[in-house]
Amino acid sequence: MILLQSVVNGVLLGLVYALIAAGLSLIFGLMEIVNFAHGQFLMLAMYGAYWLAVLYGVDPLFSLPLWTIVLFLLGVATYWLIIARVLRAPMLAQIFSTFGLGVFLQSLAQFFWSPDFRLVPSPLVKGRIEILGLFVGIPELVASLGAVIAFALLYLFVTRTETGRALQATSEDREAAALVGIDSHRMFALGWGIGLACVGIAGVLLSNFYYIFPEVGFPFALIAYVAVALGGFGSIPGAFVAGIIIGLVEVLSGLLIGPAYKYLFVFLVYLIVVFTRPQGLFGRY
Amino acid sequence: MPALLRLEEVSKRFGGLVANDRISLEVQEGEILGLIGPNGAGKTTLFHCISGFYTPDSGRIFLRGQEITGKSPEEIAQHGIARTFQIVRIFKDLTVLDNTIVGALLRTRSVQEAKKKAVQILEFTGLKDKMDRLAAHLTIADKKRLELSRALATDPVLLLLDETMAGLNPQEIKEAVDLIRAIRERGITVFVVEHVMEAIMTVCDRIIVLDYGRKIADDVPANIATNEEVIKAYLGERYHVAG
Amino acid sequence: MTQELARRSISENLSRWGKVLLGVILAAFLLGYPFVFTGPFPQHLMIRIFLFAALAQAWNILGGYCGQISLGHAVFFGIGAYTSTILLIYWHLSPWLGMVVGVLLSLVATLLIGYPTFRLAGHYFAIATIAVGEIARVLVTNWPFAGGAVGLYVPLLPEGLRTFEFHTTKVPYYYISLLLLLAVTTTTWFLERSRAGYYFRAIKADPDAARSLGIPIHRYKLLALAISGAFTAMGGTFYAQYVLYIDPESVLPLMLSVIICLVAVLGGVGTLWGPILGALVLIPLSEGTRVYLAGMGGAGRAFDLIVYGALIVLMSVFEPTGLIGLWRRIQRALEVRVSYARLAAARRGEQTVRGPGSQ
Ligand SMILES: Nc1ncnc2c1ncn2[C@@H]1O[C@H](COP(=O)(O)OP(=O)(O)O)[C@@H](O)[C@H]1O
Ligand SMILES: [Mg+2]
Repeated sequence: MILLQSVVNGVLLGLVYALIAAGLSLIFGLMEIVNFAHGQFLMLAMYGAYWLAVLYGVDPLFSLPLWTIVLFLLGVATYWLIIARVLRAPMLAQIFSTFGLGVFLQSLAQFFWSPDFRLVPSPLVKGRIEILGLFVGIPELVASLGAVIAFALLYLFVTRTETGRALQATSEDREAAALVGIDSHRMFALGWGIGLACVGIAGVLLSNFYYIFPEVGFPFALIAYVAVALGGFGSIPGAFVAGIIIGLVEVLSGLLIGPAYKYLFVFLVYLIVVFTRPQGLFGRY
Repeated sequence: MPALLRLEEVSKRFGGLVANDRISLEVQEGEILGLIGPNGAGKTTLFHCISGFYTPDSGRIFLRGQEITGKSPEEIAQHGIARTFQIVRIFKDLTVLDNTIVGALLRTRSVQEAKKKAVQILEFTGLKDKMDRLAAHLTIADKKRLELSRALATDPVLLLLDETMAGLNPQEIKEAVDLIRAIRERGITVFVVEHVMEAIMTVCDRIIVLDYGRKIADDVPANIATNEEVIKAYLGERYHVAG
Repeated sequence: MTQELARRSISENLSRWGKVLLGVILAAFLLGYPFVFTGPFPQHLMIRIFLFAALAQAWNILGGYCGQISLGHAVFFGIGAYTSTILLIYWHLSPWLGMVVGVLLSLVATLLIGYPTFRLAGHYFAIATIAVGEIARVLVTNWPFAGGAVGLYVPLLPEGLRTFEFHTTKVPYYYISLLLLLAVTTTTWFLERSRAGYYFRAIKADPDAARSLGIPIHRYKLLALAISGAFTAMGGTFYAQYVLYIDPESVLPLMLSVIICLVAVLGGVGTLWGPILGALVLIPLSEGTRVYLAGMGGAGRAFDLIVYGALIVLMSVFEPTGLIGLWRRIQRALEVRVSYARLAAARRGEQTVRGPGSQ
């Protein structure tokens, strides 16, 4: 029973991971740049939801659209201000441009908001329900449902709309896409916008039940890197499956071996995967 | 005399695509051998197989009778096969001299000695004046020349050149042809992929033709030019014909 | 014309005696510093500069010359710190010997980490090193023998060079850290001129081209990591003996790995002076803001990182070659001006113009 309970928890958690990883994967698939500030953007979204709740009494559920849009715009701005300038730069500059951004955002949060742990006071979604003898936290349930919806929308957007297909075309072959008149810069900016919007949604949903502090994004980002590598860099369905696998690994190893080691196993899974199958489960190359 | 390089039924597949289909050939010591064929015929893939960047799915490769199939690129370079790449891969942030020194260091531990050798090579290839420039700042023709110098610096017995003349103007092509001949004079066997027909027809002793991964001809240039199958393979393919 | 000029930097034009003089002044300054600045803070500051310059220089061998971006170098630092401390606590082994054992263990770690991760290219490698670093941190945090999350105190022993502990003065720490920096810088200097140095740069520039020239790139990456990790481990032992207390949060955090490479990146990777320059700029900045904002507690501690982060972004975007690159650019600009001035002077029929470029 307790095992089954853990499996459910793992899947719920994994769905949120999947959404964060999808944003990362989308960006990498487009321009082969890893967003090392991914976790810090997640942290910003969490703080955003927190402050609106504390200062103006707006429940995270209601500020969700706002932060999704804000994060989208932040993504577009990050692209134009930073990424567009390092696209042709050496890899080192690419890594450090987003890495520096992450350090900057995180320390900014620490400076202004202190390293204290915070919780959104009495969010609308709270408590837990019992389904078939299993206890499920309502905020967790809402978060994973939200993640699934966002994921589905993302998938529909990429596969069914004109713009989404242009995005995919750019991801598959930049030059060929440019030949048929797709402006790759615009696609890249869009990719960053959507990538961070995913993170924004995940952050707000997490803020309903997760402690908020400046470093909160870091483990999530690490897990997202693992998920992206596991699923295959650039593959969105891969990120989905990998997110769930990692959620399961984390919760089950926490249960079976000890909570202190849960991340350890996530990283071990990563190392094992990239060494045995460097292109990931769904990788194209 | 045994061949310098011998390929026995070498095949390489990418998924369903057979890029090299049971190719057998021999490269004789001291010759200039050409490899031609329409785009996508499998020339670069064959060079990758010989130089160890790809492992053939089947077949065997021998250098001076010693099997080198499946060896790593670095081992094959140590055995004496040097190569250039279709898209030049020089070390952009290094100077012309340093690029060449890296090549020369294969045969000596001493940087001093490697430098001496590199300067000699650059003198031979005509890049000595530019040896302190950053490789990134060279013209296309000079970049190709540098890649060649770097390969020569490893003291190869066999040099694989993948389209070293693509993108060069007629004057530069003429210089490249002269350089290839001079390389052979130094006792190095040259195996060259080329799209520029007038150059390959004049410089090669013998030419091998690939089409859809298969070897369709292996003959002296004069016969290649009149070979029915070769002409058919090239129909519809834009290429430069001599005269 | 400018091409020719660009090659010859001002320092190359400095006369030989000028260089010797400069060297003597620098040496005198470095040796005399602790006697001029006798207060604990200036000495502490310099020790930290030396330590981080040494760590960044060690990182530079792998990251700057060989092009393998490690974001997990804290692992080696932690190995050095924990090895000597554990050996001292449980087996009363001298920290100096502990340092040697730490270096040996760092070589083992090199094989364990490098062998699998070096198959990965670029971003994958960076992420893998983060994962390795986090695994090490979690393991040590949950290992009671190593003090777990609480950490370990280095046993207090009578002070002296033999025990590698000094309680009444920082001066010996000053010279030891200076020696460490000198050692790794000299090593780098020799590497730059050796076959390995050429091979490192070739691997960084284009691994496939390097292989086509017969370079066993895997072996040379391991060599770079081994040298880099060994010096980093030495830095770890030094840190443990200097602070006399270690815990996972001080010697194994990701932030440490980050700062090590930030120092190198800011100064200029793949150059001999870059990491030193980076430390000279970054460490006073971080120590200064830390002292200045000490009253603000945890919040104040983040301020230096805000500046770090912003600097790194700006550097990546505008001057990926770091402060060294900036300096070279200024130098070139100056020299071009000097040459124009010379040209103008020649036109006016004068013989020479005095300037940094003239003999
Ligand atoms: N790494 C690869 N993966 C998949 N297909 C490849 C790869 N390399 C080459 N090919 C395919 O193999 C065929 C031969 O390519 P190539 O050897 O480059 O031809 P050539 O050099 O004669 O123009 C082409 O159809 C090409 O698309
Ligand atoms: Mg080709």
